[in-house]
Amino acid sequence: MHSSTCRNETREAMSRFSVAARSDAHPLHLVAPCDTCRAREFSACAPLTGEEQTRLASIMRIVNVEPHCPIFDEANRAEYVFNITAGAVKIYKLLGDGRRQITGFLFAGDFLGLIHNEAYAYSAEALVPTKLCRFPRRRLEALLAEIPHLEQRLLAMASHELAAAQDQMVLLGRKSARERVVSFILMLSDSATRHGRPNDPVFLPMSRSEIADYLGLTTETVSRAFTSLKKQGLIELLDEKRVRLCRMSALQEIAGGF
Amino acid sequence: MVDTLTARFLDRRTIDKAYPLVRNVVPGMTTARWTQFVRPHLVPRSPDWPRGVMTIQNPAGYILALFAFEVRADLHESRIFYMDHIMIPDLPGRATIWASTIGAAERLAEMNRCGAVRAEFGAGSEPSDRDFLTSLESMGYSLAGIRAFKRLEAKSDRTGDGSDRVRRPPRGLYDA
Repeated sequence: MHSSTCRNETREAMSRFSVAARSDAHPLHLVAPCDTCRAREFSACAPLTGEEQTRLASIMRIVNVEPHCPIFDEANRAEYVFNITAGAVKIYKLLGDGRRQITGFLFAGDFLGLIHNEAYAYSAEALVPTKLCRFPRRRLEALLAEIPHLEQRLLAMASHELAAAQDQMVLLGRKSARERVVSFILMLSDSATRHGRPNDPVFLPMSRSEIADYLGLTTETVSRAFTSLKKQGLIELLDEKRVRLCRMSALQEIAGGF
Repeated sequence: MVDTLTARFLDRRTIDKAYPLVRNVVPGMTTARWTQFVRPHLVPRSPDWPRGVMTIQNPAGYILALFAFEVRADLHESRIFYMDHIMIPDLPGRATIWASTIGAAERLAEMNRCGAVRAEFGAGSEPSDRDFLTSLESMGYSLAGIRAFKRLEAKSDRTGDGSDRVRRPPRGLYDA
């Protein structure tokens, strides 16, 4: 689907439902959507009993979002909380001059839309085909009050927009472009481990320009850093989206123990 | 303190990391202004009269809340633990974060031989004030004293950083 077409259709949908994305019924939705969820083990839902899982499932709806389609826009009323069950999402803020500043990337198991002040604090857009569980915020908060260990788990492990933005601040504190790029790759590898995905090769669903935006660098600088790391035998570029870590200790040294 | 959350002092290395939380609670806050504000808080005046910024972090090290604190001399209590700039975002489970925040403050107050805790909030945390009051009351706190506030609009240039000043609606008298 063409990006602009997707955006127009989605904006129309948002005006009706206050939520972006085309909504498809999961084939097993009426049976037990959580039973087939690959993200469940690594998400806040993991410790739920069968009954609690059923209660949580009763207030949620599965939403599929195509690549480059918005999930919600900054300043939209924050009616929903999302749990990513497959795919990847970028979050960003609009700057005063109209540019976008990417503040983080979220993956399966992460939450989206948790942080708000009545309105969403960030905009969110799918990088690849993405599946999310969508919860009405008020009903989720009521359920959290009834299921304390779900709330505990959510606070303890959930990664969300605020956490992603904190990761970015740590990365931006790195001085050189090379250090930032290596730290970013290792951060994604670490995140993959925590979410039960293969951590090597590292999956990079975002474009080089999105990485550049996130790291506060130019696209050319990011590309040069990748090429340099490859020439030194530190990484291997399997394709545009996958990077193999060849000399982990050297990479960790560059990243300063990230 | 909820066992999944940990209190840690903010230090120079984590000033930037705390910024997204601060920006969330105080929209429009710039990195420069946050850094300019917080740096002096990280330098203790003396070992007997500590001050600093405490963060509440989850096991992954993400900052879920923070507050500034200072041990002050008090005519009635001798030593009083003063906390302000309490920043807690609107997250599901916020009541738990409030409880952890207050728990951390009380432990720190006891460690510093303080006779009482005084919590001031409002600036930058207005949407959450009512929740915080409810939490405080359930933990044995009561409103005490009155603090007066007047914004000196005509003198605002005296702040020296007017260009990135965070604008908030003027507030009148409020309980502290």
